[in-house]
Amino acid sequence: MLELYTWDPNSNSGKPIFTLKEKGVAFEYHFVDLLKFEQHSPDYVKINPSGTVPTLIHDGVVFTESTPLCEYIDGAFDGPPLRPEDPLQRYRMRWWCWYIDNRFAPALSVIGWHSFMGPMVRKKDPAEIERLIARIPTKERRIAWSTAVKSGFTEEQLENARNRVNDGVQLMNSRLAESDHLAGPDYSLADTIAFANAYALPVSVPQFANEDKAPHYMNWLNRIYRRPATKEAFAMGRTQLAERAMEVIRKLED
Amino acid sequence: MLQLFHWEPVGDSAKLLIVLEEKGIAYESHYIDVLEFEQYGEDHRLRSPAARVPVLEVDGEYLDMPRIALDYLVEAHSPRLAPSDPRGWYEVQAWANVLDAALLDNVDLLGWNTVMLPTMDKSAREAFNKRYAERPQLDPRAGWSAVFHDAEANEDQLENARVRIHEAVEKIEAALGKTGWLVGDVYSVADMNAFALCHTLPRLTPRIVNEASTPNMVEWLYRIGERPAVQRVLERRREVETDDLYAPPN
Repeated sequence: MLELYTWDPNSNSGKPIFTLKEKGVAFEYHFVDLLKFEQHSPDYVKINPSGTVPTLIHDGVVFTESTPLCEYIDGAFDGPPLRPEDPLQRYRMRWWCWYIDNRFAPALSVIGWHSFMGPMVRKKDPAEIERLIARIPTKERRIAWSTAVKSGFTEEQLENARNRVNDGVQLMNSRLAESDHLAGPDYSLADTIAFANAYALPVSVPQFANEDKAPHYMNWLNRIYRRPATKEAFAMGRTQLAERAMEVIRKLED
Repeated sequence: MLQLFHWEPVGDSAKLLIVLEEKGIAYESHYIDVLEFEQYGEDHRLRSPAARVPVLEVDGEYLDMPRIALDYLVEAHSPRLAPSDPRGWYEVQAWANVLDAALLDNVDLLGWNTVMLPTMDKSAREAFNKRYAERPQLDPRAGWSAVFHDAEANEDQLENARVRIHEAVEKIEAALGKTGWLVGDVYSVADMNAFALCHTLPRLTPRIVNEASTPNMVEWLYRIGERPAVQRVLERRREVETDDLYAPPN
C-alpha cells in the first residue's frame, strides 16, 4: 500500500509525484492544500509531526524528507533506474539535488512568498493569521512565518533572491550545454528535482529564463515537459500552476 | 590516495574525518585554517570555487559538498557502515539532512559568539570583523536559509539558534531511547555524522545537553567519543585555551 500526502506537482510537493510517475508506480494521492495551510492541521500533524509536505507512507512506514524519499522510491520499486550506479556519478547527481534544495529553492521561495503567499495571507483577518501561525508545529517555523507575514521581505532581500535564481538558471544552462541532462547523458533524480522547482520560471522570472539568455536550459525544460511521466504528474494537479503546465505541454504537442 | 582538505574536527570537517577513520580508508590530511581565511586563497578556490571546507579529493576530482561526500564514502568504500536496504539508507540520509539544517550554521553562530568572540579583545574583534566583511561572497544564499552575515549576532539571532539546536537535540534524545543508536540497532554513518555535529554541545550549551535532561545523548556521545577511530580524529584538535574552535557562520 503506497499513499502520498502532498500538494500540487510543484517544488518539494512535486518531487515524489514526478518520481513515482517516472518509475511507473501506482499510488494513492491525498491532496494537502497548502493554500489552506492544511499541512498544519491537527489531522495532518498526526501523520507528519513537522507539518511539512510531502509525506509518503509505504506499508505503514512514514517518509518525510523529500529528496531522500525520492532515492527511497528509486531503490524500493522496479522501473527505470533514476540514479547512476557509479558512486562518483552519483555524487555528481546529488550535487545538483543538494544545490537545488539548499541554494536555489530557498531563493525561489522568497519570490513565491512575496508575489503569492504573502499577499494572500495578509488579506486574512489578523486573528485568523495568529491562529494559523499558532498551530505550526515547530517554533522555528512559527518564528519564520510570523516574520514573513508581518514584515515581508525587504527590496534588498528580494533583489538578492532574484540574483540567486538567475545564478541557478545560468548554472543549469552551462551544465546543459555540455550534456543532455544535469548529471550526464541520462535522465536522473537531479533532473526530477530541478524540474520540480524550475519548470515555471519562464513565467515567473522571464527576464532570466528565456531563449536568449538560457537556451540550453529552455531546451531541457521542453524535453522534460514532453516526458510522459511529466504529463501524467501535472494531470493530477489541482491548482493553476498545474493547469498552466498542461497548457505548455499541449503547445509542445502541437 | 584520497586527500582531505579540512579544518578542526567539528561540524562538516569532523564528519568526513570520522567516516574515513572508521572505515580505515587511507587519506592524506591538509589543514585549511578557516580563521586565517585560507579557504578564500587561490589554491583552495581551485578545489572549491564556493570556498567550502572540507573538500575531499578523489582521483583529481574535488568533492566540496560534505553532506553528499559522506554518501560517496558510504557507497564507494567498504565496509559500508550504513544500511544498504532502501528504508535504512533513507533514514541515514534523512537524519543527515535534518541535522545539517538544524545544526551546522546554528552551532557555528552560537559557538562563534559565545566561545570565540569573548577570547578576543576589542582591537582583535575589529580587525577580524573588517576582514570578515571584506571576504569574497562566493556561496551566497537567500531567503529563510540565509544566515545573518554580521559576524556578531544579536540576542534574537542567538535565541533562534538555541531553539533550532534544542529541537534537534530533542529528536536525537527520543530516537536514542529505542536502541541507543540513530538508525537500526548498530553504530552507523548516521551516528558518526550526528556526533560530528553534536560532540561540542555539552560544553557549548550545557543547559540543553546535560545528564539530567538528555541522558541518552550524553551517554551516546561518551560511547562514540571513546572509540579509537574517533579519538584519532579528536586528537587533531589544535591546542588552544578553549576546548573547541568554531568558525563564524558563513
